[in-house]
Amino acid sequence: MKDFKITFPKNTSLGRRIFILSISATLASVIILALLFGYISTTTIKEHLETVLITVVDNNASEMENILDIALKNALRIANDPKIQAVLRNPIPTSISEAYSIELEMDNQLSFVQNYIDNLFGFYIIGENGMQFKSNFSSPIYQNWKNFDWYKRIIGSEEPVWFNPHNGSFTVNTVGQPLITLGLRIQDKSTGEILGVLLTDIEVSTLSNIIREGIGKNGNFVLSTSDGTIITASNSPDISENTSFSYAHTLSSPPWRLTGYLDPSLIENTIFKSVTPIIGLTAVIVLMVLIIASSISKRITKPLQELTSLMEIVQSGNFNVTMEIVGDDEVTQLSKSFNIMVSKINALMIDLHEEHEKLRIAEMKTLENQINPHFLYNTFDSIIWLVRKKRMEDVNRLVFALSKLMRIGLNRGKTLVTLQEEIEHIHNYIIIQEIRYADDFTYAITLPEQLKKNKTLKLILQPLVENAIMHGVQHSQTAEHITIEVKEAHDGIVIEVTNTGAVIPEERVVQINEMLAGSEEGDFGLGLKNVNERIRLYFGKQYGLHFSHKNGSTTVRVDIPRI
Amino acid sequence: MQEEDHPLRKMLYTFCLLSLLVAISLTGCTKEARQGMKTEQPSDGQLIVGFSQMNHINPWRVAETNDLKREAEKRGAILLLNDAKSSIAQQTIDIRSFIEQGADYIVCTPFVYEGYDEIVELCKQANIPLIMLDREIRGEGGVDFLTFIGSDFYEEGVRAARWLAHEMDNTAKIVELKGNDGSSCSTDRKNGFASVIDTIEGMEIVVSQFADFERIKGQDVMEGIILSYGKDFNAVYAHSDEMAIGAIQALKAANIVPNKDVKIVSIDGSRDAFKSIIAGELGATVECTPRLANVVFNTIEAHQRGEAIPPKILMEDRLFDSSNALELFNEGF
Repeated sequence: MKDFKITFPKNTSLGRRIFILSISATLASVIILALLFGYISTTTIKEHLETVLITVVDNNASEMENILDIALKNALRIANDPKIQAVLRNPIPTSISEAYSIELEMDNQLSFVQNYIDNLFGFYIIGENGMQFKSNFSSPIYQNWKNFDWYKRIIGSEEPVWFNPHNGSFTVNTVGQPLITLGLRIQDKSTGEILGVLLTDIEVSTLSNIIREGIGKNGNFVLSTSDGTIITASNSPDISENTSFSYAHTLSSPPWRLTGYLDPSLIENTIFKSVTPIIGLTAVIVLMVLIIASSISKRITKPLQELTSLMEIVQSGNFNVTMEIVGDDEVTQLSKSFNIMVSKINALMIDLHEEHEKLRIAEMKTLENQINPHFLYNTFDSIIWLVRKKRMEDVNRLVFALSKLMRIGLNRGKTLVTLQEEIEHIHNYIIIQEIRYADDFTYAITLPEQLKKNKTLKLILQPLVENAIMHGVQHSQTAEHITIEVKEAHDGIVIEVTNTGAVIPEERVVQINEMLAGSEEGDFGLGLKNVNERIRLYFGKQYGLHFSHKNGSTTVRVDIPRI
Repeated sequence: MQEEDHPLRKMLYTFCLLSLLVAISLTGCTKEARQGMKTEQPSDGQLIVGFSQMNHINPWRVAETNDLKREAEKRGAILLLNDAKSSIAQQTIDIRSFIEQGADYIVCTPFVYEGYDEIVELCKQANIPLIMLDREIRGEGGVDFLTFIGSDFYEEGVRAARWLAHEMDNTAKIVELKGNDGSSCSTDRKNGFASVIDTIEGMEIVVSQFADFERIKGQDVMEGIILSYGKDFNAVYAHSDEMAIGAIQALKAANIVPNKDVKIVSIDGSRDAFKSIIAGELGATVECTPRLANVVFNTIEAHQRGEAIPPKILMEDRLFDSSNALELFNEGF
């Protein structure tokens, strides 16, 4: 079986999807149900109507058979009646008055037979001897009947003869109504001689009345003879031409056929009547489903839509939003998570902002340190002193270094500078301090060629060198040495500032390092603290300063990332 | 939200379309079989006559109807015919139908004397002349209906009484078999007969009963009379031949010889009555001819020409007995 999958256009909203899915599922099942019901009721109604038709046809046919059978039995009884046989066996009386008297008496006898039988129009006897009897009031027609076709046909047949419908009786005056006639020859019981014929008339209307009540206007009953002649039909015969259900019953004797046709519109109308409420019900269900589905899809999607619009607000940068929490479903869970997420982001944003502010303040402090008036005073004091001593070459160097120092320090407000620039800056600073402190210390700077273009925070080395001079050189009586070395480390860059001279006690080193790692508050050089803070704020907590001492020299190591 | 409308509307359309399809498939093929009146539109100027015959339960009415049919055909008129099966209600329906079919004249054989007001009113409103045939109703010819055409039933009774008085030498005990209660012919025939008998001292009616103009009834009633009154009568006056013929069979069964022990006179002049006269059983029959068609159509044509129509048109009737029955046998109906 193939997987059935509904695909929607990409921009279909969730509400619409839910709506379409629920509607199509319900519609499909309702329609399937309606069709199934329609099919079942259609077949049931059809079968039922057909059964009704068959029953009615069979009943009507047996009613007709009954009438025809009674006619036949009585005809046989009359034909074999000894008195009638006796009258017919004798020649006609020579006296017409006697003949008429006998005829009137025989008429009377026949009329008594007829009087006890319903549905018969009349019995007539035509004797070979010329006598003529009748059972009803109709006035007789006197004629020589022996050459008439119907007479010859009856005489020639051993079996009873049923004549097709004809207008008016053969031998008496009638108003010309359609009649069917049973002909029977009268045979002398003792000699076998043919004495005459017996005619039995049945009005076609008698048979019509039976089938007229049949099935009303919704069908047609047609009684036809074995040769297809229509004796009578209950309705307009055009119904039979339709491709409607029909049922035929052949009568026992004569073998006429009674056929019932169902008007196709009857079946249609009956089916329509029973199916109409189903259609109505289906329509109501579908309408209800439409309403319910749209309200459900709205109810489901409304919080989602709210969430979406809140997200959009957040996206635009406003984190001061909260989703209202109602109920305890999946959407509520989502809303809770959303609220938590937004508040966390908000806190992070505040942190970030604070750190940024700290960095800015630290930078400002560095700058303040750099253009420290005390430093400037000292430098200018040195310049004055050198001028007095007429050491013009040194004055020239000093002023040049100062001017460069100032330029790089300001450096158009950039936070990051290349290592080359930073080293150049510290070199100028050392030149100034070297002149000031005369020959109290020597220095060496190494910067590998491949690291010159790498970036670092500006002004991180000046406080370190200042510290080295202050603690290593100022308090020493001997000439000290300061080295600045930039090295590649496995995951970044290391700058080491090493000075000989005054040794820091071991426990003080540990303490300082703990302070620098941020685990302990404490007091030590403001400049160093500031540098360490800036590096950690800018690059992360794994970077920063580290103190160590070895063989009488102190080293401050700076870890920065290679960028 | 406006976007949401789109699928909803689509669904609705789809549903409407579906239900429409179902409805069409169910009703679409329903054919309305039109059952129009099978009215034959006659060419202009052809006379249409509606004939409401009360019934055909005796040969007289069969002969009357056949005579009208023959005459209509002869004169090129259309005869709308219906058998009302002895029901005035059915006659009213039939006549209404004749009016709808555009009948120019309506001929009606009234079953009883009273109860034809509705039919009279119907024809008056439709402005169609109504001819009462062979029996009368309450009302006046020329006012309520065009005219009455038929025999003089009173005169028939008078003639039957005169014949009987002559045959019986003014002495007779008479059994009277009347037709159906309430019909003008039965009443008139009784009164006409009585008007003569009452003046003759030796003649009296001993029993008078209805036998509905029918042969079997005539026989039944006569059998009953013989059983309850015995044979103390010597004449029978029947309002119709059929009752007389039935009564004769009852007399014969009771060993009463007709025409010898009991003289029988009746009215109508049927073929069976002729046979009975020839057989020497029925004494005489006063003619009441059912052959009225010639007069009916003559009257209609005269009326169409604008001639004055008398309120009553009576037939000239004959009397048949053993002296002329054989000779005039074919005059019987």
